[in-house]
Amino acid sequence: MGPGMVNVSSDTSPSRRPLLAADLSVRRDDFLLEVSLRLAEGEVLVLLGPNGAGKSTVLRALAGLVPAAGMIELAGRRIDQVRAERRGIGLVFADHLLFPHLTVTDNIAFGPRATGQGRRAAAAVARRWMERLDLTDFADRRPGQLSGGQAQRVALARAAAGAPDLLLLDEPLAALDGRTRLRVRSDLRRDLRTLARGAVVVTHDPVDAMVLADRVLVIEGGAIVQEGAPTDLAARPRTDYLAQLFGLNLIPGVADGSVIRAVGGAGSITVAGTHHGGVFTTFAPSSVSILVEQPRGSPRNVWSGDIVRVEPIGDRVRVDVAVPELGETVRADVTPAAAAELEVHHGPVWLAVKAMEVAVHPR
Amino acid sequence: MGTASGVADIRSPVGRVPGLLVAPAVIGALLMVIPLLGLVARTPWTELVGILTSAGTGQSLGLSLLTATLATLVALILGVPLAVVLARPGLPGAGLLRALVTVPLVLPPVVGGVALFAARGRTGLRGAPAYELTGWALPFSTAAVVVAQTFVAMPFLVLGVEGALRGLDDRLLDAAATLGATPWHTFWTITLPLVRPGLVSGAVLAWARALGEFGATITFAGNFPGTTRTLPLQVYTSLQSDAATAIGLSMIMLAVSIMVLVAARGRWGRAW
Repeated sequence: MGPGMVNVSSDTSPSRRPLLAADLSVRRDDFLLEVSLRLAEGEVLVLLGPNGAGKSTVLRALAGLVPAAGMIELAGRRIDQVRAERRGIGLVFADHLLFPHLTVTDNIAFGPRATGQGRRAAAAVARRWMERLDLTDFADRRPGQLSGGQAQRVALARAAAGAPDLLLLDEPLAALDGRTRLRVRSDLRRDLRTLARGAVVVTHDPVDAMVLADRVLVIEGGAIVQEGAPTDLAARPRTDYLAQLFGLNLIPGVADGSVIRAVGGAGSITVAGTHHGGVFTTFAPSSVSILVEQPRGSPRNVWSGDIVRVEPIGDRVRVDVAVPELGETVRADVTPAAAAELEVHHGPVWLAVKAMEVAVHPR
Repeated sequence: MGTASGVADIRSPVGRVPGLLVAPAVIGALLMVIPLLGLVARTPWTELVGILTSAGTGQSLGLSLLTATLATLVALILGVPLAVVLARPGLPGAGLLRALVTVPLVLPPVVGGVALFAARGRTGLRGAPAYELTGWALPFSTAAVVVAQTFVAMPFLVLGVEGALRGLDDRLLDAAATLGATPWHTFWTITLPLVRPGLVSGAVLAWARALGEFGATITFAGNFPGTTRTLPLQVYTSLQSDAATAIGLSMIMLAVSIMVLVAARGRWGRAW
């Protein structure tokens, strides 16, 4: 399938078979990875998770580079018993892994050549992709003469030139410096849906996930812990990892009206509105005030705790306070002046959060 | 090859070479260089052209170039696959196999010749049935020269290629597989080009070793003018009657060897 031939479908009838259906299980020493993926035609799925969660292993298992038990069906074809070279899956590696002895043209033409196209036909395919990804000026360069961003585009072109049904990208932005990263990210957002019939992107960066994904799977410890649209994850994180990623405090509790009893302690959180049953409460560190004396007659949530960590973040200072009555460490952002005041304070502090600032979503 | 400039060369790029190392280094260099200087000093330069063009020399030089090249080709065809197998991680018995394959590096070549004779001679392990069947035995033929040279030269090639393979990022082969390349296609288009520096230097060393082969050759193939008398054997034979000719021939071998070593470090062997 060539450039521009992909149908970005809005047809989401449930009866339609997904482009990719995979139920995978990979065991390595005492680590067990078990995930189930479904990808619709034209969809970009992001696997988000901390280092060591097993994200890259999912990609390698899909591509056939590590043995995995289970089932993989791609474009209506069972491929779990098929060798890597016949799966029709392109993989873009974090460090690109361009062939160092081949020119950019020959790198991109490698897939077509390997699958039996003639030299000239393969070169023509490579030329089309170089035009498409703005690489024509580098056609005769070797990978060692490319910048990080250029190498990334060559890796993308090389994977796409093999006309795969599915494109996998392993941390596509990790090897790039800050400014290149920004540009490549927006390029990827534009191009990804048209490079193959679907794409799975692995990242540990929430911004990548927000920009690139139609849907996000969060993987922790070899299992999927949450799934949803990027905005949904940011608003309603269900794990501490995800809450931290999006800069939120996450406290699980049990709601009874507008009072939520913390799961981890004897304290409670007062919120606006009424809720029932198991919930997660979230609030931003910027909406937490730190007081050195217990406030009186305040309508806010007030908890006492001990400062466990102080760390500057940009023009703010992040203060971590262990709060026994919530059974959690609460993150608060204060000004450097306030932080200086806290420096000379000894003993417990009080945290205050307005009920209006606390969001609630079901557990 | 002046010794004074040699010392200066050591000092400047390395920076601080401990003083105590300089004296042994100089003595070591002298130990290697003085015999060569002796050879140069004793070379009958005026007679060199005559020696070179004499029938015996031409014949043995031609035979040496032919057999050394054939031995290198055999070593390439068999040694590269052997190196690929040895470089595969987790191969059981790889250590033992590597030791056996590289033992000719440390074995006295004469012993290699005796071993070859025991295996391939008219009464040998494999030679006997072949002789019964065809009436032909390998020893004392030009083919025997090639076998003897391959035996001593192949370890250089295997080690050179295996070392290069170990330095290769295996994930490049993964990348090739995801692009639809079969292992065979990947071997030719990725693996071989990337190990080229090790392959070339290994092949050049193997060729030079084959060219200089003496002990295994004279034991296994004999010393027959025209069929098995290679240049080193010609040197040995001449030495018994005509020292000047032997020295002249040695000078030729020295020149060829130096050219080969320089070439091995030159353009062909360079990485990307």
